[in-house]
Amino acid sequence: MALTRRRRRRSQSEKITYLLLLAPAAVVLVTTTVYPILNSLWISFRSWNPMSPTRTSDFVGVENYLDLFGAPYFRASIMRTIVFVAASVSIELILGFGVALVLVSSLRAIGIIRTAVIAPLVATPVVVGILWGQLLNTEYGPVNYFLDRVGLPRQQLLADPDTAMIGVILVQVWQYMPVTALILAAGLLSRPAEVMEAARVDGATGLQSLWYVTLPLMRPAFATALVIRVVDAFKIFDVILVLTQGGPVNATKVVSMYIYEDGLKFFELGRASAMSWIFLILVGAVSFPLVRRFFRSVRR
Amino acid sequence: MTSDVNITRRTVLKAAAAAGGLALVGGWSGGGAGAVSRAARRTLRPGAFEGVTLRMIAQSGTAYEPALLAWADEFKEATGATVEFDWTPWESLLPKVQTAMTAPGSVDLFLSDIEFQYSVYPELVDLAPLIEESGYDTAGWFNSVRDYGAGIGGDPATRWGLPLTAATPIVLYRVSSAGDVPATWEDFDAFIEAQTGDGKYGLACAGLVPAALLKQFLPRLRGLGGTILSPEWEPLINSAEGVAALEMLRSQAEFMAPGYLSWDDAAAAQAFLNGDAAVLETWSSFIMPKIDDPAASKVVGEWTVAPLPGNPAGHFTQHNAIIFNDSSNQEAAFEFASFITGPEKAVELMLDYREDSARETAWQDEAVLADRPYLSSLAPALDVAKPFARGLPSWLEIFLALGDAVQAGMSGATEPQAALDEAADKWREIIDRDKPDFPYVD
Repeated sequence: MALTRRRRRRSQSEKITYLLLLAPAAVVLVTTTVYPILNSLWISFRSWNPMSPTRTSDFVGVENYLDLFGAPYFRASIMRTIVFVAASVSIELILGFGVALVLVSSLRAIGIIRTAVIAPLVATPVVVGILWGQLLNTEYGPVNYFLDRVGLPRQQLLADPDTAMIGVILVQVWQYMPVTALILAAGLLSRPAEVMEAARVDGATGLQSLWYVTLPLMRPAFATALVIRVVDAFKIFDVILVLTQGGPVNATKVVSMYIYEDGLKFFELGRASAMSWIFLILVGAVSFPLVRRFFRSVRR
Repeated sequence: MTSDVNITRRTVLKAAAAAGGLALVGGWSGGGAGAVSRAARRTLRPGAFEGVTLRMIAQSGTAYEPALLAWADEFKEATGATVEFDWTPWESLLPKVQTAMTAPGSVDLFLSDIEFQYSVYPELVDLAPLIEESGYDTAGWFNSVRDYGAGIGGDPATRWGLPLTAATPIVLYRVSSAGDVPATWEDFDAFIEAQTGDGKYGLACAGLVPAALLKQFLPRLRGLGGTILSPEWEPLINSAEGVAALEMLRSQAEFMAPGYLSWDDAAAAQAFLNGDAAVLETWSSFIMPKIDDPAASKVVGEWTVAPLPGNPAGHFTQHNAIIFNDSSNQEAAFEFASFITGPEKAVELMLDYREDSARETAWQDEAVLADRPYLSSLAPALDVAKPFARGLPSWLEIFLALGDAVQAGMSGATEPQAALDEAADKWREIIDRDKPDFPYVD
């Protein structure tokens, strides 16, 4: 009895110690993350512009949300964002897998190839935007210069509303494909050697062992790359801001750019917060099932 | 809010009275009639602000940035006050100001476009009484600077800023003499058409940022007799004149480089400097410092600045130094603002830094005119230029919305009438959120 009481007391004091140790982190988390998130939810139900000399902060219920759902520009920006994420991540995965196969090969210049593949990751997105803006410059860019030299027509990739998104996706793939390549290369290196050997002994061709053995074994690696890249691609902002500023004719204006514009240029904080919440729900709706599948595939 | 402002103004008036007293002791000139010559002679009071630190948010990348740094050193040497600058890109100025306003007293001064005053004026010191008390020279300002700098917020007696620069987009023609400049829009169209071909273009235009196209749209709209708003703040951009202006731009876009929608102002200026474009409409700071530098320009001596046909009203702006009413150093802040915007510094600004002063007297200075003879052609454009949606707190939102419409109409993505109708609807929605209680004056 006395022993049980002592144990209970000790367990209670341990609990208090844990709580005390956790408290600073919890306070930081609540003040810097939980409170701002909940506050933004509250603001999303208000009409508030702190830079307006005349307006007050009024409760408007779900008006901001209804306005946004009824606004063609916002619906179009959501579609644009989804197209951007789906296209860029798909290309990154396909190209990344090809590059991963090269990265794990025993080519003679593999050191140089690995460095070259990883190089774009080192650059900051703003620098990447400026760099590609110069490369694709319609008049003085090296890309059009070489096209001219080989007798091909000049391309107005970033200046044409029909092709600007392709340009942005190209730049995104160039910078972040190495991430998927590295993850998939790690997956390739962790394939059990005996399984690959068994496939070879059974007479599987290179393509057959890739399709029937390697790809099924790579499922966790693909899931990891997919989750990381999808969540990251939704956050695209800096490259587009520098490269096209969302244009031409809003052809590359994704949701994050509208949130920035409404929140930090016009200070329409109610509408910007509502946009952020819709965006958060959208990202959650896409990424949550992916994360769940990812953990399932890892467990398997 | 109003009572706060009044209390602050009283405080400022007290400070002004004290400053006036000190000025008399320190040998400052007084105000009133004939203040021009006396103000020009005014000197800084030695050691008057020893230990004071002024913090100023200012726009980075301007031609006057090095001038302010040099003058801050002079100011410190003379008065003992240190000026710390927070150089901020234009796009981040409003967030920076907003942050400053949430931390009272953290920033004393702000220097950028007058349009920022449209939303922050309740937080500013009314400088009109201080100008009066101190004898600050206002006589040399351009008329447009004087007229459009007063009364923001509806009270015509108020003035929130001291102007450093004034500007309207300039038009550069690749012709050797002013006599070759097209006199009518028909001549203009014929000129740019004749100049297009073999990798050369009639007109260089920056279309990357949609709002940058308003440099082209606004003078055409006004040149055709249109305006942007009625006195009741009703949008008029989709009027017959507005549509005609956008159609004119759309037809002129045929003589621009095909990639103009990916060009920023620097790229458009570069096309002119390379001799690849025959006409350029831009802000002078993007091109004038380089245009006669043989290392940067292929058109040295082969260009002329002249207004668009009929000298229509372009977009007018002025950069003003303003003082926040929660600054604890308002007297020193006013002295610094007066120092950098005074008549002597105006000439220095134009001669040494090739920036365009808000003072017409500096534009007429012999040394300045000898250095930049084209200024006499530019002055008429500055005289007629008009600010955009003067006094409207949400000016930036409607400015960008119009830019989107112009870009859509010019590029052919939307018909001009439909693009401007859509923009007008958006304007109504934006303006209705906080419509000023005073009429719009174009």
